[in-house]
Amino acid sequence: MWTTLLPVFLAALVMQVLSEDIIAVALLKPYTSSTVSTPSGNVTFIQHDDGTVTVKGFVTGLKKNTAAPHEHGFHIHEKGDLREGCASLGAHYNPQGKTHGGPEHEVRHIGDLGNIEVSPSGVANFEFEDKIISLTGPYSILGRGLVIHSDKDDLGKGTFNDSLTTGHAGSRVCCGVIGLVSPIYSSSLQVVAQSSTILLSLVALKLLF
Amino acid sequence: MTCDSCVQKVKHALSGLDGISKMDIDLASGTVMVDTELPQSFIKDKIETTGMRAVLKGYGQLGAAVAMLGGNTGFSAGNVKGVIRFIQEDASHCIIDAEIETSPSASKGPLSINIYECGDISNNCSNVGDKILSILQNFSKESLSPRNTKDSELLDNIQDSKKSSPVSHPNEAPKISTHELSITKSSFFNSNISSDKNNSDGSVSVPLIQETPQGLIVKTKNKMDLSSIIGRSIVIEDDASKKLACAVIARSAGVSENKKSICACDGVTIWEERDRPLAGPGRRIE
Ligand SMILES: [Cu+2]
Ligand SMILES: [Zn+2]
Repeated sequence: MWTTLLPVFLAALVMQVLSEDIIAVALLKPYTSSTVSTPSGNVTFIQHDDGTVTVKGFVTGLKKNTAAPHEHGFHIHEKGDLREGCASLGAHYNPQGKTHGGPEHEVRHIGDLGNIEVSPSGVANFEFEDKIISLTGPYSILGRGLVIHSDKDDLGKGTFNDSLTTGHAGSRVCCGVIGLVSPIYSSSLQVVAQSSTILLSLVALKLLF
Repeated sequence: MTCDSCVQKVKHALSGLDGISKMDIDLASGTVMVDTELPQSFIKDKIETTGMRAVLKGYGQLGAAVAMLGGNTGFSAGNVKGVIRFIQEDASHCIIDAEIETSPSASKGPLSINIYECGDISNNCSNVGDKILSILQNFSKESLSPRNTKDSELLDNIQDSKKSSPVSHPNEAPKISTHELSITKSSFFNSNISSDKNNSDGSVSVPLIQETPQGLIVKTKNKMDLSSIIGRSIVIEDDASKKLACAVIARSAGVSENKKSICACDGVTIWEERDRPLAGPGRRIE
């Protein structure tokens, strides 16, 4: 009875999950005691049905520049390890071993989200879409670090010796860990887990890898 | 590490400790690889008694995660702070190593560590969703009591070597013992988790609990898969289920990764990183 019923039930469940947006959030803080400004804010990631991810953010306390709006490098770094603050987040998330680039480039790190524009008063309010990052699958950005840098990312076009690795974007002024918000994802796992452990691992593969 | 005598010094500092089953010192790369049941901070302190400095490069082989609770990295109520590390030991088991700091004025009631479904730690840990998995329930300094010979021996060794370490206070040798803990069943792994400490396949071991001047160090092994908890949150709660501190469970470097000794983003070495501001003008090397 159960063996015939369960697969049907599961199929329905997976469909339902995939038809919903998956949401994640990162709360950004400076994680250092010695800066004059204290940038902070949050960035939300919304993954839609077609895999596109909307990135929305609001960050205050960034560098002020009364002359003009300016830009700061904005990346996903490989780890979410805050043991040494923003410094222990590792390099740009780059599981495919590519060179650094801009978000619109064919060759880029998965984590290369380019720059965010900051107002003369040090506030960044932005929204854009990216087709490369993902909250699911083998290259999921969940649990990784999100960093805002002190300088503009040259998108690999500069002549500095770190242009092709980091875009010469300078130090890390604030950062946070990307955490899951959308609860749908987990409650469905729970339901399945109660039925059978073997099924749990199958479904986990489908949803998480 | 530049010389053979340094290798000997490290060997000497770590030999005679009971919780170490394998030790590999590589002079060329300056790396010490230790297979141990002891908390990592303890190994690091031990190595630093030789006068050398040590930085943790990686943890675990199949994947590792870390959560920084409270302080300025997570959110906390009542000054509870913690660093909780996870290592995937095999396909279905994780070792969890928690260093918890409590303020001296805080209530001494029992604490619990649980995993919640969402990694949104805004609003004082109130947006984390439902509890999906329990790591440890109701442990406290007060309820520590010696349990069996084998564990007691191991713990006595920790105590002895702590005494000889320059950072500890010889007159306040920490009271160390194990406490029998029940690991409550959660719907998430209902069919797998057993609270039986003598579980024949060893799927859930008896947690090791050690008191420190700042709080507690807890080490336990649970049946779980790291990939199912990455990006969710871990919460320390009091006996009334009040959330004292929380953090997102984040990816960290495993032992086989992170071979480089330079932080790729700004050229600061892991050694300099210990002393340098984490960001800002003082950090960058031009
Ligand atoms: Cu970056
Ligand atoms: Zn990059």
